[in-house]
Amino acid sequence: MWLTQYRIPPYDEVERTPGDWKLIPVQKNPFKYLNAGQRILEKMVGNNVQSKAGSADFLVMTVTDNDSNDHEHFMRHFLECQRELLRYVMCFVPNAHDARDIVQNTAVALWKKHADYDSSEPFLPWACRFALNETRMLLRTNQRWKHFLDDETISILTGRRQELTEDLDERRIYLRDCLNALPEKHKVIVEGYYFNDLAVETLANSSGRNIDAIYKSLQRIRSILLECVQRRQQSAWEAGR
Amino acid sequence: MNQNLHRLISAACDNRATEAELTQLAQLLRDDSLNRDEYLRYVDLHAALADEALPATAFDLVDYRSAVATHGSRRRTARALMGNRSRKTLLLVAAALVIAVVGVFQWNSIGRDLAALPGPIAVASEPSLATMLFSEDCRWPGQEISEGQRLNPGRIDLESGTAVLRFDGGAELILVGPAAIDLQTPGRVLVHRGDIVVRATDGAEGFVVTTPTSRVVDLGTEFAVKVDSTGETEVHVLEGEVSYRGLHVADELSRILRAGEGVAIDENGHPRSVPMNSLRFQDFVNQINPRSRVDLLTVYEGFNYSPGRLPLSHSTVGRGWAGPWRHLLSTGTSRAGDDATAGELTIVHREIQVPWPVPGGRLGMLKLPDGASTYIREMTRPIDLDARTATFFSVMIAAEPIAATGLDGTKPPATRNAERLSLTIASSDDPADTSIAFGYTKNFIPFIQLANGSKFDSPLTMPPTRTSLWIGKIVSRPGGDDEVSLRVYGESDSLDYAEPATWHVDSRNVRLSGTLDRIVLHSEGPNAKIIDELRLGPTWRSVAPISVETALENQE
Repeated sequence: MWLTQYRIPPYDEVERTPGDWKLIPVQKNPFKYLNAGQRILEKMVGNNVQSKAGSADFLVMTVTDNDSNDHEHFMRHFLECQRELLRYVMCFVPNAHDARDIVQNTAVALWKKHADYDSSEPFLPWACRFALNETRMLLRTNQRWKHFLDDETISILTGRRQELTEDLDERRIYLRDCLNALPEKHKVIVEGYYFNDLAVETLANSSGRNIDAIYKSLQRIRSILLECVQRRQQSAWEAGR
Repeated sequence: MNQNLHRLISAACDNRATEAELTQLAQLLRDDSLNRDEYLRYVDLHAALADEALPATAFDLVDYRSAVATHGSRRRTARALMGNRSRKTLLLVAAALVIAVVGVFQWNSIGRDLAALPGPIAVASEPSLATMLFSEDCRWPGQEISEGQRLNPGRIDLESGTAVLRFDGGAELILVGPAAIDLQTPGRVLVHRGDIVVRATDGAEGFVVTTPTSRVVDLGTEFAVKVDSTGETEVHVLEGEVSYRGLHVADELSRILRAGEGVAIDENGHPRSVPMNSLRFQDFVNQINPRSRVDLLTVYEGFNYSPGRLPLSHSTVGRGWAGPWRHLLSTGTSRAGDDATAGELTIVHREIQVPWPVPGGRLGMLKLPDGASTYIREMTRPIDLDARTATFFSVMIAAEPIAATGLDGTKPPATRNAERLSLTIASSDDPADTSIAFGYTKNFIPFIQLANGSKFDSPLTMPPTRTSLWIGKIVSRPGGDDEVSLRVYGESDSLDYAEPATWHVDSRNVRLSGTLDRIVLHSEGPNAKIIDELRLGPTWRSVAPISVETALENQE
């Protein structure tokens, strides 16, 4: 949460409690109060508020806020990185449905803590930490997923995921081409399952096949795509050399 | 081994894996780094399909490693490209969030805000005297002012937000709302109220700031002026010195204020010392944290295709295009009707070094072969030169290095005279009479050429590096007095957070008319050339490949 210059003058909107110095986060308000790098610290003494400029990096307090500025900023940040969060979470919980639930819980957790967010830092890495916490929680508590990754494997995968970033980005370019090259019968399944969000049962009914056969096809299609992407990447590298 | 691994991952993706299968998969991932790599590639492919995240533009790609450097810059375009299902997800998540924690969140206003693209720019046809370089969270009651807009004499009210202006005289001014100023001349501003910081150096000395109580003259410096609602004025000198006096006091009684000093002048014109208390101009810009705005791009072509020969009919990726690229059969002209979709584009990967923070150069580039070739592609959103608009474009070009040719005065080899490359923004109805071409011709001199035959050459040759970044600006208004500018950046040139004070080619007071809806790329000469990262947008920040950190570093 941040206060803009116009939110500073009604200073009494700040919720104050007697006792400790509290840090008032301020952005873009150098004229009225601050020098570079400074923050406002306040504490209540009796009924009076004492203020000073400082640079302590402790306790960020909440501010009563009656307009939607904070929500707006938060939502902007969140919407910007929502897709990345989903991609990130799916590394650990590859089922899209559960991963979306995690992203949703992450949104709530981020909102609750958004007063802690330092807007001079990028939002995404901050949000990823929350997403990872939510993921860990599901992996610990969900009846099925708790048999999956332990903390150590998660941390190894996180590191490796980072190292493979460029590779994975590049593969998405080839994936698009490989998808176009799929035979029609495979395209129908991909479009139904992934793009039109159809249940496997529906796909089975409409194609006159059983459910297991559709799942088998999905597995087969993903392997074909994986191989195709691999092949294209390989030839690109060879051409590059 | 792979088959079993794929079977297990597939089951996990489809939510069919049993507890035993998940345990087995986890074991395989713990045991073997190759399994982990295969797993990560598999689930990322699945995630791309599940989120319909197949890249239409390079900005769709997620790069966690560079997220810190490019935060906020590459992300937003994804939103506009989401399929129905992704939108649904987004809304569900957002709605859940809203219900869960916000309660009275003003969803509609956000929706409108996110969907809004900047409209045409309002400028009158009288001579302008300043440019709006940058604006962040600005509310302008009674008028709409956007980045890149040329400003005329007159009053500007800023209700909230922060803006940076550059006067044609060279002074730059930061305006912090709420504020009201009058732009008076290219070298003078009247501040009714609000806070400003002025940087007036390198020929901009002598810039005058008047307030209801005082007059401040810059003597080659940086200073802040704060005017409250009673007209009381504070002046703080950050660097160099200024002269100041009460408004109704004779010039001879002006006093000098030096760096580190501050003075308050009351409504009667009486000064008293106050502690200096203001940020430096640059600290201020850093604090605003200027970010790239690729979310505003109207046209994008990153040539993000697999390397090799791409049939023209398949060149459908990108943003803001009405169809694929076409080949122009008769070279050198752009007459309608004699083009063809038969033919190919040559896509290459990793053939150039790209120092700018863009995906370009890594994930596909267009290689224009030696000899003459011309490609055209129509845009969905035409540029109306009879309306008030500002359009910026950028494109990366890799040509043969030109060191020891034009720059040191030696005569270039004869073959180089035949080199030519141009990017023309033209009308599909009337390409011969309505077009603006940017390019370089013999001796590697950048130029702008208008359809009426006017040609403007750069006084400088191309930078002596292989890759260059071209950024151009077209400003049009109904009454004429239009402007077309071009600047060419070499690999080592830094990009600022806002448009440059000087362009390499600058044609002011030209008259533009018509509608531009097509891009024409034309190349000829003995050398192949590479094109990448073609962008059009309404502001500098939408097309210039700046990232947060780059912008800040460049200011240091």
